[in-house]
Amino acid sequence: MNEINQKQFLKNFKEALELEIENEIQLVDNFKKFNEWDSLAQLSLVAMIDEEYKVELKSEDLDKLNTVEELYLFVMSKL
Amino acid sequence: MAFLKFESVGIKGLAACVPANKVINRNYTEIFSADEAELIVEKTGIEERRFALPGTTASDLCFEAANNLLDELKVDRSEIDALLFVSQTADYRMPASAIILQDRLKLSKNTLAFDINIGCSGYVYGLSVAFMYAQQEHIRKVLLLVGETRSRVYSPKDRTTAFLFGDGGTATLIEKNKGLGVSNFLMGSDGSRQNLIKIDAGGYRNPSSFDTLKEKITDVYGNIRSAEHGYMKGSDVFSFVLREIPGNIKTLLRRAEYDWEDLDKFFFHQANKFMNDYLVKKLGVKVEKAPQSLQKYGNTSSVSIPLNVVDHYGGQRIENEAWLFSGFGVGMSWASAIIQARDIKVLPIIEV
Repeated sequence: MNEINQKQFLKNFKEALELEIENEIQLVDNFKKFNEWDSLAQLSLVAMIDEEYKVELKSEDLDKLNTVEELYLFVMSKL
Repeated sequence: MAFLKFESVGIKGLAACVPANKVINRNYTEIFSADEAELIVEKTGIEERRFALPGTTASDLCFEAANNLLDELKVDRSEIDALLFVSQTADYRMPASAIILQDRLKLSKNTLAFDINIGCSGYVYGLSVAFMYAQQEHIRKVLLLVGETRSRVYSPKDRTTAFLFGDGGTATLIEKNKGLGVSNFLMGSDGSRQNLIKIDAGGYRNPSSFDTLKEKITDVYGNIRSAEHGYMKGSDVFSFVLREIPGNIKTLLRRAEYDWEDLDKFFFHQANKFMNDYLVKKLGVKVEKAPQSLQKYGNTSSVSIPLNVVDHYGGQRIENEAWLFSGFGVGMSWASAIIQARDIKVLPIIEV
């Protein structure tokens, strides 16, 4: 179950940030180092997490999150 | 709960004036690259904006809109007993611009006039005050002027705000009449989120000084502004809107005993396309019922709702419709209203 959730989260994350298809992402990746990461990408991420998980992602929380896994665990902890 | 209900007062006419000076965002590349501009335009949907030329103020734009409205509707100016000016870009710290406008518009000295300083929710707040005055026996007509020169508030070197804001002025005439129906308002405030949109210095908490005017790099992206420029934490503003606004609108509909189908048009504050589209989707509102004009004028703060109405209906007379207005932003502050639009004359937009 957990694995399915993770896989779906990665898919949602990739779509939200409009990452290139061939650009495979891993849970350990620091998404703030992605070329696509900027204040506009942050908006998309907030929207995705609101829409898919009904969780509010504040920038003060986001400041402490760096890897996709940290973000995933943060969202899961708010469910 | 700040739920308000009004009977037998309503809007009779609406007019708007924007600067003729057009700024094309894709060409706004003096400081940022064309690629950056393109990305921002795609996401925000803001193609162009209007910038008032130096020397023109929000009250000047409102003055033009008001003259147009009073002339076209053949209003006897001596019947305007109340004049309200909503703005956060007033002419002076004092006196209130509304009082200067009383004289410029050749209104009677028996007119009450004052400014309301609030921001993106301001049109709906201003309208609620106008309706309260209009219910008074001896107040015959109320003139609500809402204007901003937001282009001057933010730093052109800060990409988080440089492409978003524009200028405009509007005039709304409010009257009492049995046939004008019922309107409902619901507003709210959250001062704990005051730091989401703010100008830190230049008021009396942090007075203007050489230091407050110094431009500084503010973040890892190299954005530059002074303490007297506005700033906006866009992503947190977006979160705030998602948290507060759908609930506010749903509660208003329930209290006012309206169904979604009863509403002909939804005029939301025009923030940016990403946020507005998301809000419309989240509420389940039909896209064609929620006109957007942000692509032409950007975010004009308190001006955006009446400007959007004029952009959409300019040149028409509205016989009988129900509109939802919803404004939200700096404060944080929000306000929604359901207005019965009965015999409203909406004038075409003018430029100066």
